[in-house]
Amino acid sequence: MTMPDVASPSREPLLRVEHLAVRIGTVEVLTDVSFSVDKGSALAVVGETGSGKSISCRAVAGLLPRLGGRIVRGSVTFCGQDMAGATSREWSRIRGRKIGFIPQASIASLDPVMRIGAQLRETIKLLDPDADPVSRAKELLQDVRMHDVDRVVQSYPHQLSGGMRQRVMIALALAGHPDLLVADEPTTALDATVQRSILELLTKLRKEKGMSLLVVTHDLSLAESFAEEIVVMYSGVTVERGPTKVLLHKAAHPYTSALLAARVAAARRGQPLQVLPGSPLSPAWRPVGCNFQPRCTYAEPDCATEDPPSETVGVGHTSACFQSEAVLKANA
Amino acid sequence: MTTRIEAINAGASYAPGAPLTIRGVNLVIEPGSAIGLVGESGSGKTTLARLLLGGLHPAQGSVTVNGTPWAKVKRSSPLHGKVQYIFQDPYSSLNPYMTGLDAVTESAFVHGQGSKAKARELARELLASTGLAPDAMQSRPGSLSGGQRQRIGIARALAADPDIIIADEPTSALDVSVQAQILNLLLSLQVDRGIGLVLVSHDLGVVRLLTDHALVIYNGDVVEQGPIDELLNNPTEDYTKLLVESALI
Repeated sequence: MTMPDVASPSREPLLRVEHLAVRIGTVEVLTDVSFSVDKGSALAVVGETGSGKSISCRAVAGLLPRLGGRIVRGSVTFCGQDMAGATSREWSRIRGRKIGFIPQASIASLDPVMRIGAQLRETIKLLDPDADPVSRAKELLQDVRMHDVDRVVQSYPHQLSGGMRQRVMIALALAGHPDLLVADEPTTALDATVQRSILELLTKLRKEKGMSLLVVTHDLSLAESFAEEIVVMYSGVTVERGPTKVLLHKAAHPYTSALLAARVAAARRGQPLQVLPGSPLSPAWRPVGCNFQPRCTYAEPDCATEDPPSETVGVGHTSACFQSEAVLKANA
Repeated sequence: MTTRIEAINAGASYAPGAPLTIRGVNLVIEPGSAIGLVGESGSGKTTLARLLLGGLHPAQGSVTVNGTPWAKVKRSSPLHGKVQYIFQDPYSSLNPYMTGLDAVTESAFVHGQGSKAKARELARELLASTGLAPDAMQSRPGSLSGGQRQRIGIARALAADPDIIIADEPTSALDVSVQAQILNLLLSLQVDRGIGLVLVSHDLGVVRLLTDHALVIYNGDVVEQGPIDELLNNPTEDYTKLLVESALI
């Protein structure tokens, strides 16, 4: 898939997350997460299950208290305003209106006993009280390229396909005219052709409305199709960030490199895929030094004693690894 | 004697007289063959897989195993064990009250692999061959990851000593890194054991890796069928073209 045709975004950061640490109960699930989303740009957050991608999304949308979580270090700055200490009342003025959120398993997030039209009208009344709910509901469904809008507003969720339900979720997230759309695995569980149409839709909406996108995915190949920048997370830490084309072709962190090698696209027919050894860490236990070191093929003695700092390895490209140079050389 | 499944103009529906969910399938599966069933949700892939397995009886045409229609194969026949199924969702296809070792032992015992003790020994070997750690074998599914559960599902299928395995979207619920491990495992079954594979998937990239022949299914019809390279390089049907464009390969 080629990169989407999107106008060059301005460089003004809309969202900046710096050295964010989040605790849920007694467990520090995020220890050092940093990324930023520029106005009009698209960022993909990539990593395995348990890497902290979804928690990062929830932190950005102010939804941590619902998980019993709280920010213990670092900052979340949105439109120049520090949101790390924001109250739930302050978040409710931002969430839905300035930041649209599409949760993971959004297909199951629709109310099964309420017609689609009623669900949209309810959200519109809350987030956009000046609009006429009936016409705005149809307009939102048209915005997400839904066919047969009159039938859809009368339908219950079970009467729609997975792709149509996902379009409804996007329409709901757009109801408050957000500047930033946060989508947590928006295409997981969808067919390849539907995945593609949903990502194309998000890219078109971004272009039309000048929105920014923050999309979580575990699939680097998918990230390539819509994002200008990728952040790779491992065990609650941002291990690498950089422009999509650079990161996919010149990965500087061994974890990114291993994820790229494990892709189906990287394998030949009948030949085994390269496998990432071991399994992701439990957030309740992390080793001394680099979190990835127990699974890393580049690990040196230093890696087991010190935390590798995030260092610049190229233009807009950072990696938190003592062996970045060796990895870059191997991927050159 | 090896196992050979043949579908001739086969179709199935879920109620007498209801429209056919899948129609007009012509296919032969033997040990050593690797066939992909590709299509979107609701296209009839899983219905076809169930038809090939004998879980559904054809409402059109025939599906035979070694020349006998599935409906006439006795429940006690070893042929049932020779065709095994790996389920799409490793989270819901295992008994939550049984450890992985117990689940695989039961399969081995039921399919006549010897006494309970021998079946348990075989189960241990099979689980180890799928890469499952000894402590995970003794755990119930609730405390295992998706990849670990899918390994149990594969070992459970192997416990019947199958000639043919039908795998229904075996990696769609897994991370990219775990997907690679499970795909390698399926590849090794083909290479090391000569097991025939029917792989159901919506992802042409995965099908391309493991199979040499594929059926593209759209709305219950086989719209295109042939060698996988031919389908990828020269798709003739619009839906196949769309699938090829959408595949991340």
